[in-house]
Amino acid sequence: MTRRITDAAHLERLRAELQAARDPARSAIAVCAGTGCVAYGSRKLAAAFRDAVTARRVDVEVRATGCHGFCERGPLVVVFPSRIFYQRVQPADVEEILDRTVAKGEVIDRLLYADPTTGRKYVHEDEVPFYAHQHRLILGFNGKIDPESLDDYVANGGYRALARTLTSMLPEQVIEAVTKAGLRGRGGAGFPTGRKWALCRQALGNPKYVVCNADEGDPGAFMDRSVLEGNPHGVIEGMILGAYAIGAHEGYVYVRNEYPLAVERLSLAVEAARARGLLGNNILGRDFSFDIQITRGAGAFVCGEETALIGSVEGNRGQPRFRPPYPAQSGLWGKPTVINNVETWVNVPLILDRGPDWYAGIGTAGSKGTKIFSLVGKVNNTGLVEVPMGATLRHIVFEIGGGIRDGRAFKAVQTGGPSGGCLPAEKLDLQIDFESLTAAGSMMGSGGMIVMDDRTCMVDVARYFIDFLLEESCGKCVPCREGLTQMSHLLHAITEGRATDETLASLEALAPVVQDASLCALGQTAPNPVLSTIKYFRDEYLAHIRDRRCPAAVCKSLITYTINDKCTGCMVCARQCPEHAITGERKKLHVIDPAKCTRCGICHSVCKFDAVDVR
Amino acid sequence: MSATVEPTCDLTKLDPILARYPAERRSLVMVLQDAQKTYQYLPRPVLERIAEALKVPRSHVYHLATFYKAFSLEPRGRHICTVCLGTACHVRGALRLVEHVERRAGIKAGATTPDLELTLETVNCVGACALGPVVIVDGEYVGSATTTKLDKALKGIVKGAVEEQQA
Amino acid sequence: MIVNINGRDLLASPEETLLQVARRNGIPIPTLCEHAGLEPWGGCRLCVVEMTRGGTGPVRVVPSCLQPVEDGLRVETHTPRILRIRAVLLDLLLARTPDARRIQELALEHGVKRTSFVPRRDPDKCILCNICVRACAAVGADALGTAGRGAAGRISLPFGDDASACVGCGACALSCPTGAIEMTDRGSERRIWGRTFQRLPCPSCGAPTLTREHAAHLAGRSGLPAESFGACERCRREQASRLFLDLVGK
Repeated sequence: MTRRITDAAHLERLRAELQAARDPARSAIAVCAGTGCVAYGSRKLAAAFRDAVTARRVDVEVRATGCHGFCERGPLVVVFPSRIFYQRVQPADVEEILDRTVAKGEVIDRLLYADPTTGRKYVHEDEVPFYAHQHRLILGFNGKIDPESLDDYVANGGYRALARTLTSMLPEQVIEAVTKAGLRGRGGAGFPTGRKWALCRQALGNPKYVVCNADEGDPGAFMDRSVLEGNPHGVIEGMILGAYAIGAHEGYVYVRNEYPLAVERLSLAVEAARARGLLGNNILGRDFSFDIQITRGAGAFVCGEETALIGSVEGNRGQPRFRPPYPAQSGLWGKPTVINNVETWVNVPLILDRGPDWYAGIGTAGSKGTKIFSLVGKVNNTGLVEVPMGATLRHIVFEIGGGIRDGRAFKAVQTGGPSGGCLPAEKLDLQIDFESLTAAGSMMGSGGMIVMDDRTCMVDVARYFIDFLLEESCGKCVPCREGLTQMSHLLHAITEGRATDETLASLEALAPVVQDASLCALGQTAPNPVLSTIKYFRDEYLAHIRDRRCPAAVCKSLITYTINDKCTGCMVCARQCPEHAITGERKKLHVIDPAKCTRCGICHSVCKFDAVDVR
Repeated sequence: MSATVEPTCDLTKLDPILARYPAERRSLVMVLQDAQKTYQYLPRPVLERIAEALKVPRSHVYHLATFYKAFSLEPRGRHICTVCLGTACHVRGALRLVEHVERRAGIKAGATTPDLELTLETVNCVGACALGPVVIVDGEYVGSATTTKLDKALKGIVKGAVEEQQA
Repeated sequence: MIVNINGRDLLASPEETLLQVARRNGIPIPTLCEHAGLEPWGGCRLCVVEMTRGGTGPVRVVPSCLQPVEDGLRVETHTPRILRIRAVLLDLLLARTPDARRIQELALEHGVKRTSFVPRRDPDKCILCNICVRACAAVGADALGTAGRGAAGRISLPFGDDASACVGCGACALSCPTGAIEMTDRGSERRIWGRTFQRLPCPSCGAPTLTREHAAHLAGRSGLPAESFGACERCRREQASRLFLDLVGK
């Protein structure tokens, strides 16, 4: 089973055998095993399916797949060959699914996805609006293949690009193809990948290295995690191709420590690739050798910055250094190094498999291909979304995301993580690509997209990001370390009702210095969330400063909780209040003592009658 | 996830870890990670032994270990409760959950109860954003977490959680 | 190659940084984390300058201590934007270390009398410029480092108290721009980092010189006998000039 694949022809024979062995009419149950679904119990669910199938002695394949992206509705199940799509499936549903759907082809209505606004139900995965409006070039693999099976990847066309490249292309031609495809780095800055590779290939110095940056640190972004967990071989194949192009024989994947499942799946995939001769010496019988080592991060956001990442791999504190020299000239151990992020690497096999012209036909003039966004926050359908570059924010938030939760009003969407900004409703028709987002005062970043409604306070969001970055600042340079300390003081003054107009002026004066003078991108972009919220939501800042009021009712120092006449006197809030600030008799209106209330919000969250007001 | 605190620190447990990696500076982060898994935290003698074995200065080991958030130089609790403070969790009220556990356990985030029962940690995004707010109790994810769900997950770990449930 | 700084065309060699070229030509640029004999660090950012490539490119703000020269660079060291950055940085540092003389002086030179920011609660004099750590590493003792990170970082011994690697050379204290590291020399006794060292007498004049541990450390690194490091600075210079005169005399 773990026989070495000797050459390209052997790989194709294997692929043909694997495909022939697959009976498209065979019943199969695909259970999503992404982190989201696992959190909702998909492992137990898959085990229940396996047990039931064994007990019944029926010929049904139970397959664990990578993340389907619609995490919020997990655990997700797709029944083959009918492709019937069930959501929020529990072990209790297993027998019924086998009895009715697998055996008779019937649809179980209650397990179908129902659109939260229209109530319409959908039978197949690709009809669900969340999926129907996407272009899942990369995420498509996740739902199809078992991430722990190399054969599954091969059967789905895996390593075909590698075989073809190694047998028919010179390294320079690979770089040319990637350049022609117009691929740009998905880690945030959008640097042209082909140009980076060419620089590294031309750089003097040996050995050379390729690195996969899987230190996905932007809070609210998890596309790299999903790709690593769902399609690790795609990333590995991309890295092998990159190594061939620049002339490297060693590669490193730097994975976040917070992603244990990704580390596990990637390690398995590397071992499998090694056992089959797709990593190691003389790959596919050619005069090219390459291997990959996995390095785990240790909880430092700044290590997503490439020079800090290099420092961390070398066994140092992850502190960035000045560029030039760029890693392509002098990277890991001072040697020429190409660093690309997960999503960039996984695009490479697609480009070489289907050709640069095909790839360049997707997207906008300056940004090619698709981009995966993690659509989260106050939106109806949360999960991973893949769209061609140039899709509008409205398309993503409303058509794919199904609009705002609880029928509330859209206020803003935050893109680009802590380096990005908040875009208001008037930017909803913006066509998203690297340039347009930057021009609007935000950033592509790694693809986090956090939707905010009228109950999200924009000053609080700005404060959140500054405090986040202050905690993650490495401390090397003064503007980032001391500048963010002071920006945090200023923002806390605003959210805590201690600010004057001067506070806002100081914030606006300090921000450009932090941008101009900081050493690395962490500091240089840190003021973006503040500046973009001041730009688009200045009124909200002024409400905090001049009226001592938080319009979204979020900032604790500026809000009060009161009980309205919907109160039925059920006493639940009074019992739960940790400060015993709520008094009232059973079946009588309760009252909150503002002097005792610490505004923890528990009463608001436990009240079933919407009787607790916050303003 | 078993979480037992080492009363004494048995340095021989380091040997298999050190044997796994080349005795160089570049192995340091990995060795520290494995050591933390073994000892639950990084006791001083462990760090000193690692410095010696990898032939790096003690200052380097100590200062690297204090740089990364994943490493703890203080003993940690038998149970670990990690509240995600990623953006998606933040806008869905994760801070309230931190405050809730702080009140229940009588400790601040980042601290361990005096009886070494519980460590309350926060993390800047575990990448389970669609489930926000997310809390991880001993490796188990609690998605769309509420104070009630948390009390249930912490039952038997934090005294208050049980009492309040019964009240 | 030629770089233009403040309107002057200046000759430069490729391995130089902008700061070196500027200094060589008498153009003052303030620095705090830069120290002769140590690799540039690029942390204090006071040395930032405006730089344009080929006269037409975008204006970039770069640290002159790290920016290598390129032919045709146009550099401005004292534009309003740069002066504003330096003033704000010093304002920030003053909030961190209100009692550090060097920071007070530099701030005043940039028009900052008092900090406009929130002062640090328990201030010390350390600005985290890392000179001490780099000096210690250069000496080879590696006894120091930064514990923690970001604004919470602080210069410390391993575990806060392990001075066993310290050789008492004093490089950290002597190179600190703000006098944040305490070192007292009384007679032949040196106290630093909680330890007391004995300084060896100079074989020629008897004045206390380097510590016993420092001499042993240098001997260990160089393979030369410890005695060869014993001479005090003055005597060593005299010996050297005598040697030089002897050589020239021949």
